[in-house]
Amino acid sequence: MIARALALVVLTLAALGCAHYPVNAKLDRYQPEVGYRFPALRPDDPADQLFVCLSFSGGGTRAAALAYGVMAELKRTEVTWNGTKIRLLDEVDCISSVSGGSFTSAYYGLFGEDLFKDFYDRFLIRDIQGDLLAKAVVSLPKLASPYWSRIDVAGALYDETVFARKTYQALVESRRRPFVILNATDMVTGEHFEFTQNQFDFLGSDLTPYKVGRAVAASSAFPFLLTPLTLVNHAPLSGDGWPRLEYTNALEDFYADPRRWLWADHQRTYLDGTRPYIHLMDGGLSDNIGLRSIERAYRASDGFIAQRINNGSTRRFVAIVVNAGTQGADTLSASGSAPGLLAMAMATADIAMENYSFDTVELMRSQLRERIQAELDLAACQAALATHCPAAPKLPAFPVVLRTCVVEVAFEAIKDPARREYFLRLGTNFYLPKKDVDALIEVGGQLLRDSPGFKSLLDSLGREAAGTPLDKLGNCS
Amino acid sequence: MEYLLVKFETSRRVRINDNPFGFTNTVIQIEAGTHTVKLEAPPDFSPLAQTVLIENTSPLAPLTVTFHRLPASAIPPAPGTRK
Repeated sequence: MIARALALVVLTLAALGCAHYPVNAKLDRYQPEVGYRFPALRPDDPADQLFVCLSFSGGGTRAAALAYGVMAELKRTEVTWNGTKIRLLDEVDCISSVSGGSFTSAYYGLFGEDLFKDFYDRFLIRDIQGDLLAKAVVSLPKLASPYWSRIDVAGALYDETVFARKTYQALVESRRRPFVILNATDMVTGEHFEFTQNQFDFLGSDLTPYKVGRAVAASSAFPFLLTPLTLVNHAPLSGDGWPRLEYTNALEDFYADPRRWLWADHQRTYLDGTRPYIHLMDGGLSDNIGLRSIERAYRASDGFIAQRINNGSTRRFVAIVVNAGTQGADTLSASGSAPGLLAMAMATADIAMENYSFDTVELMRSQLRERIQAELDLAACQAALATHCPAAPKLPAFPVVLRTCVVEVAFEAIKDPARREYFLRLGTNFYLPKKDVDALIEVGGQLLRDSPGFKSLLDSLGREAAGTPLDKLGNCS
Repeated sequence: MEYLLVKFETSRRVRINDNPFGFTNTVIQIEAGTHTVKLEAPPDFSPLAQTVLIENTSPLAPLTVTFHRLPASAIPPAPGTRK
């Protein structure tokens, strides 16, 4: 009897020890119209005219709550657009997020306005890290397997308790905006890795049956605390039009646009047969504010924003950056002795990340300023031509005068020093006391309302609705 | 960013690297580098595609790519039809 029981235990442990993470599905053929991609361009789609994208930063529960507060404020904000009163939340076309921010974006993508009913209890005030620890203890035998690690525990927990076991199939079937881009980081190239079918094409893999909870886990796979998430690289893909011309053309010349070339060179590593497995870490490592995917969609020929702007279907482009970045208290400057190893390790990670985040927002702003300047130059030359040479043919112009806006929500904008310090000192983890969560939700709405960019956007939309001329082309960035 | 002007005798949707990307005779804003420029159907234009390197342009001096309309006799028949 005892021997039988022992044998049963050994067999069970052996079976659990052979646990394997869910493998991403192989894709048979390249099908550019199928899968989780931004919907193909439709002529005169009214949804494209006012194009709003949100980016949610990392920062654990702090980031998720701040993003939630901003979304609640967008829900409360009504504007008049094309003669109709609308809520700004309904105009959100895309959300790109990393790490903690990915919980809010994925939840909204899957469940829409149920976000405001149950996300608070289901995620924001829950002790997720305590639940993770408990689940890890229960999963100890499975963790003996080299193919089942802490990230798989996290993925399973989020899948079961937050995202109702939904896969990308649910996002494909919903056919509604916003298009949600969950970003992780490729551990080898350092490139941001998007959970979209456009990205999965490079792995010859079908994103549709993949669990959203696992994608969120990859996006928030904080180094050391969680292990990287592994995907199987099934490349190469076959089919007409593959590989895409944007990729093959980008590889033609490094010097013309090194950033474009580098993106393509990173994608090439998926296709050259050298990487059968792809390991993904926290999206915050490659872009801690989640804006890079939006910035690329604005400039690349396969970018859904660039296509809409060049087709003249987007008249206004708004990017709202929700940055839950913090600053630890200065514990170093008061001491004359050399900082210790831990302090140096933290500084090494934080300094690079913060500087990069700052530059990413500035990059987006400068791209939009460049467009405004191009429009001003064209308009000024056309006016001079009309005055001095009225018989000359009109200069070619952009299909539409684009009005742009970058709005940034960040704790640094809080005016009261004590309150600012309170938020800037909040920790990065997956459990915050209820009072902190409530304060974050409240300050998210307030920071959005008070931001000069958002005020300027509402003013510009109001003037347009009233038929009043707009200042400086109605831009606010 | 760089700027491209695709000239054709009528307004036609332009495809850049097989993506719908603006219209003929309007200024297109695009990343620097090599791009393949085509027009959408009907295939009454020549050449069928042009691959160009776009750099050092400005909105007032975009790179100009021209497609010519083919005479009716030179238009290839649609698939499945006989000329």
